[in-house]
This record gives sequence, C-alpha cells and structure tokens, in this order.
Amino acid sequence: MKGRVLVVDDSALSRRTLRQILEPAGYEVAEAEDGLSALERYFLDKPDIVLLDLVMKGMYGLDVLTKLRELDADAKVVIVSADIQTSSHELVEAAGARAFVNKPFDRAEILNTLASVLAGVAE
Amino acid sequence: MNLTAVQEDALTEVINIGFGRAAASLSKLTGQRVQLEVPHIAMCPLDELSDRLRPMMETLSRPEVLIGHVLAHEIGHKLLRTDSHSPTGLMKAHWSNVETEQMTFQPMTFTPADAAQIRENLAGGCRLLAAAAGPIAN
Repeated sequence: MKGRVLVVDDSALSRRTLRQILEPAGYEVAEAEDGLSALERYFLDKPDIVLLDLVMKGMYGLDVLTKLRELDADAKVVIVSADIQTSSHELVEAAGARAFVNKPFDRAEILNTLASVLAGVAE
Repeated sequence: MNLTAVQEDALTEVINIGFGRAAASLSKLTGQRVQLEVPHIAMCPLDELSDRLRPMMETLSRPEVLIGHVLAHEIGHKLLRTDSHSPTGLMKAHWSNVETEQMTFQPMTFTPADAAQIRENLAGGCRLLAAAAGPIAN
C-alpha cells in the first residue's frame, strides 16, 4: 500500500473517478462529500494525504484547508479544482496546500503529484 | 424529462469546469477575483426559461454585455493566433471599471492594427483553402 488518501469532493463522479485512479495504483481511499465530513474523517482515519476540491456546497474548500492546517500543521493537502484562477492558486498556496491539480485532471497528473508530495518533492 | 442523480452530478461537474474556465478568463481581464459557487442544475421547458432566468439577471448590471465582450476577446485570440494582448481596445489584458461601465453604452472594438491582422489571417486562411481545394471545374 502506497498510502492512505482522503478524497474530498461534493461530486460523486469526481470521487469515483479519483478512486478508480488511486486504488489500482496501490492507494487506500476514503471519501468525504463536504467540508465537515472531511474534517471528521481526517481525524478518524489520519490519512497520509488529502485531495481537496475548492468549490463545494456548505464549507468552501479554502476554509477546509485552513481548518485542517490549523488542527494539523503537517497535513498534506493537494487541491483538485476547476477554480483555476491565479488568485485561487495563490490563496491556497498561502494557506498551506502542497500542490494544485486543475480539473479536468488525468491519471498521470494525479499520480505524479501524489507521489511528489508524499516524497516531499513538491514541498 | 428528469435527470437521474448520477446524470445531474455529472452535468453539474462538467458545468463547474466550464464556469472555472470562464471565471479564470473573466478574472484575467478585469483583474478581479471571481467567487465560484456550485452550479444549480434544473430541467425546464424552453418557454419557461426566460421567466426562470430573469430574477438572476436582474441582480446584475447588464452581465450579458460583459460576457459578450469576454467571448469576443477570446475569439479574438483565435483569430489573431496569439495569446498576447494589446494596450487598448477589446484585446486589452485588463479592463478598468470605467471601461467595463462604458462598454454598456459603447461596445469595445479591435484596434486598427488588430483588425488588420485578423483580416490578413483570414485572407491567408482563405487562400490556403482555395489552394487545397484546387481549381473549380466549370
């Protein structure tokens, strides 16, 4: 097992797609469909890395990221979002995200980013 | 016609990605951050569409004018075959608040240099097409 990944996205399609990419590559996957569930799951499962969407119903992804990093300064979070504005990249980088993957993503991009962040390359 | 939960979720995500692209272009042009929200998907008969959209459109000051200019700007890049911008006009990189207001009354245009370049590119494309098609048989 390469690592445990928490996928946080309000889109079931995105969560399913990421699971289909991650599991065959050797990752263990847990899911959360909103920010509050994500915070709960993070502290129950202690995943190695979080893939976090930004535009979600309820708690916005940036708020989830900020909360996660407040509660665990070492939390490794990769943003996977359709919000590709330069200002969004800057905001999440300042909030402690380790990397940003634009939607729509491809398999190689997700796996390479995950491997880099887990290896500490993208930090 | 009703969408299944899976269809609605997939359509929402596709539109979300489209909105993300549009927001990035709009943000680049206006220099302002665009706050994105999860799109709400609903099916409705075509003749009810304007009634359903009216309340949303009334909260904005002529959004269709700004959206039209953004679309024209992006098409301009394709016609000019470049990602670079002009110091003034429709192909300017960032529109000021004053310019955004003015476009409601006076549509922005390409600069004479941009317009000439577009004409030249289009004429070149027509010549290539004509050459590829060969002589017209009578």
